[in-house]
Amino acid sequence: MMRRNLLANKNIIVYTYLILISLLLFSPLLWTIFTSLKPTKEIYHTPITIFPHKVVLDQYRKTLWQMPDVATYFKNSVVITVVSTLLVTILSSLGGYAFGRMKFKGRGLFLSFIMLTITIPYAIYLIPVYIMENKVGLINTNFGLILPYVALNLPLAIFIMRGTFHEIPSEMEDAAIVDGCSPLQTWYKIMLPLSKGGVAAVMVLTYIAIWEEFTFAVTLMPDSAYQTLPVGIKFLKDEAQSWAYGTLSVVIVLYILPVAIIFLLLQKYLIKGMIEGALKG
Amino acid sequence: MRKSIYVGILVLLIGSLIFPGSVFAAGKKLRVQADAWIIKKFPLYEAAKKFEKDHPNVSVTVFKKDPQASTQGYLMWWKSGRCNVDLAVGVEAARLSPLVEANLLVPWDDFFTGNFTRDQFIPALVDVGIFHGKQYVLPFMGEVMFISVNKEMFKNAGLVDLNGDIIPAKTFGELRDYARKLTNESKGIRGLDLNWGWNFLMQTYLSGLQALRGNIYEADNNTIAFDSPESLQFLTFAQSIVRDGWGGKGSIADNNVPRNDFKAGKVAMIWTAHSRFMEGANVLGKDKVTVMSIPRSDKNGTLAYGHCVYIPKLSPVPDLAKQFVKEQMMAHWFKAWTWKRYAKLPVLKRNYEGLAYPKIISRILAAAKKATYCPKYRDYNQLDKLCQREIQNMIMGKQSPQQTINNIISGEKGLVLVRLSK
Amino acid sequence: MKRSKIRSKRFKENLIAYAFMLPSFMFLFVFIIYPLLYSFYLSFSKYDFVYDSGPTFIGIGNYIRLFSDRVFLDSLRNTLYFSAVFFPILIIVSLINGVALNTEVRGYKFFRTIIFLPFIVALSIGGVMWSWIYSEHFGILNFILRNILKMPQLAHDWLTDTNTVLNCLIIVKLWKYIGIVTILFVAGLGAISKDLYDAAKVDGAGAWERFVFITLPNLRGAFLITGVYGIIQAVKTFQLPFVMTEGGPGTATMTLYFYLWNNAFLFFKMGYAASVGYFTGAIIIVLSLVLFKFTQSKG
Repeated sequence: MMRRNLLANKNIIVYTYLILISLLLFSPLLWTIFTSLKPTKEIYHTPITIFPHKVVLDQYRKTLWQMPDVATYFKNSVVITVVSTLLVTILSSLGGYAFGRMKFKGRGLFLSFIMLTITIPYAIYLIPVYIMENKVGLINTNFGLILPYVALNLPLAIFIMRGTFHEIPSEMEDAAIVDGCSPLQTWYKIMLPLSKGGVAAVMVLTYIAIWEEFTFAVTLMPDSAYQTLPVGIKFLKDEAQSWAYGTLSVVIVLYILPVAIIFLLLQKYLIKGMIEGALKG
Repeated sequence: MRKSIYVGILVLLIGSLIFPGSVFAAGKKLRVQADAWIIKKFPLYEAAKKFEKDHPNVSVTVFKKDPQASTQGYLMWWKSGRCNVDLAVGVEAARLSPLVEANLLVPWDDFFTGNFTRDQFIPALVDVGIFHGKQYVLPFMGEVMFISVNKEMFKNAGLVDLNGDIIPAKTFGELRDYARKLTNESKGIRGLDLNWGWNFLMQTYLSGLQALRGNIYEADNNTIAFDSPESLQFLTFAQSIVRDGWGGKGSIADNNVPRNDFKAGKVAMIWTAHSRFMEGANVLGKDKVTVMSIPRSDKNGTLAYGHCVYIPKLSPVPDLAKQFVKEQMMAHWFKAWTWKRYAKLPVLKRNYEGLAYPKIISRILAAAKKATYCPKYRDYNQLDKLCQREIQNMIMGKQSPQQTINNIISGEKGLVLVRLSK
Repeated sequence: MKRSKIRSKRFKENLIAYAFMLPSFMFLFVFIIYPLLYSFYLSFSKYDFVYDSGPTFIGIGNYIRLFSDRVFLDSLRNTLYFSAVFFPILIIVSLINGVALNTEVRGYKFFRTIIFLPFIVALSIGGVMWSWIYSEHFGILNFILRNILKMPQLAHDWLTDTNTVLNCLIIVKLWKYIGIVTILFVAGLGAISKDLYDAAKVDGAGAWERFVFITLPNLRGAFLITGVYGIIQAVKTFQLPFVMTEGGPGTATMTLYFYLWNNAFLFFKMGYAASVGYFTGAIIIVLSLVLFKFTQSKG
């Protein structure tokens, strides 16, 4: 009897807390979603209304069709993020395999180096990268951002893939070698399919990190025509004229959507990948 | 499956190489880069389309730049020989000093021919672009520091004469008094907002200094008189208005607070560019808004400034750029459009034909004749940032005016502050 | 096997491993190792990128200058304050979230997603959104305080008042990062085998004792990761000042990172900026080492 009461109490506490914290964290986003559905007059109405009195798609229409800038920013972000993520995934799968399964000279050294790069702040890399890219003419180009992004995300990605590969029982690998597979074939046919969790974790984390990266983007792409979304948004804000808030809320909603969907689908893998890769490593 | 993945990756990599470069048809290209707010307040997109219609083999692209960082950015880029703009639009002559000093700009002296000779321009607005005797940058519009006031509120506070015109404040003491009288806490109305945002701080400070002192420079005609008694007086005035609750400091966080609050009827007087009066009039009503001179400025002058167009030497089409300015940006329709909405002063005399508020226009132009300008120092932008930091700290109440002055003076060391003529 | 054969076999293995590592290593070298070394050199040089043709070595001049630079000292103070407030709240709240989610009550996956959602909003975009929420006249926060909770005296000019502005930025960063750190703790808690708890229950250990003696020690790895991550995020504050307040008003939200960036890309004083950068990096490393020692020695 006592036990039952205790359990019920515990659940109530947990639920109350979770509801409260979720409400707190979600309300700014809720406000943004509501704003994106209001007509412009209502957004600027005093006193402010919380729930839209009229639900319209004006803001979406205006932003997507009448503002070429936002579409450009989106396009730039997508191109850069997708290409960088692909490159990181491929390179880290290759590298992580070497780390996780092969013994070679200098392995310990590489490992501590990777740990070090994760802790050093990015801005220290930014100055020389900027100077280099300026000399070579890579400023304001897509590759100018893609290349450093790949480099910045590789350490963590390799670390995760290493952990994932480490967990795979060696019988699978041995079987492949016995079958006469070269290391590359072993990697491609056997190890990769078994490391889906790690690959998913790497893809999601890298995608999120690059999609929202700001510091490098604002420095290496100073011209608005080539900017990514997080940077472009800042300059939209500075103009803060009457249409800005509506557009802003639309951009935020559209911005979250792809990543939210990916996260929802890959939630399971992501956590599994993190457990294997990061925590057991 | 394997093949299609590789192909897909290849396509993406190649695609990213091409984006956003444009492989366009033959014909001339004119790349116009303007501050984002200029694109909003001037009909540049229409001007571009019209120009393309008139010149079928020319394509004009208009894109944005960030006013805070662009001068330094251009400086760095153009010095390395890289340039992706033909006509840059925005920021005052003072801010462009480093570009002139580094000899990166095409002079505009050959612009003043035919229908555009110098006598057809307003010297007070255009001459500021002259460095070392040559017109390196061309102001295409003008602004003068004035106080825009809400007449209704003046009436309610008894600050109008028998004709219903406002009684201008003649001294700073009177201005302070006005601010007190016009503040209405219960209604959430403030008396006087000065614009201390990043894009106005120097203009606001220098206009106050000029009004009190008649000359922003020391005896050497080169150094700004930060350390003068008038400077201290003005800074004390500015800080006290905010401290005593008769004025706001919102402009520090957001440049647009004074104008937005003025339009919303939340502040009675705003000390900023004259053009705000038009925005206020458009919202509050034609006879509800007017301009008031900064105290003492009728005798001592105020500050004027104008955003400029400029052309890098690295551009392959400087004449095309100048043609665009002549045919479109100096056209009557262009100037009338922007005057009606935002009261940006035209620089060509004939563009004043038919513009609304002729009385106010003549007052502003008269003031411009006596006005001073932001000093054309090589390191003006750094000085600006230094002053922003210190004066904003002061307005926030974190340090005294004297301390602010001391900090600015010591911060000036290491900056190259020599006037590049005029 | 013959000695030479063993050696050549190992040599071949090494070669294969290097081949797999090579592409990654090239990226890492060009964009991380080389810049790391070059910035280090720059921090001891004077280099005005616009007007100088190259860096000139000046020894520790930059570092000395840091300590007489008022703005640097302000940014140091702000960054330390930010970290001191941000870090504990981040870890504690995320840990509580993790524990709550780990109870796996019905619908816990939904809550998990909601808590994680702010994380996927780019910090710069979130910053713009929040500066609108904080807006004195148009912001929803003051609106709720004035009109709904009827507490107008609490309504504030959040981002213009130097007393509140930094705390407001901390709240925004917490809003975003609690999500990911919660997930890290969820993963960490999930990795603790249930058997340990059952055994302890059989031994008569209460909930609190189970928490202190089983959960906490087994979270050591998670604490290390979340701790280092939290420290990096705390010291690395750049986007919020840049997007929301430009380091203002005055220097109220000037952080080390923002000052670094200003020096490098607004004033183009590369040498000085690099010294600020290395100083910041040193702080992060020191704090991380302290954290490392702490998690290792936790009984």
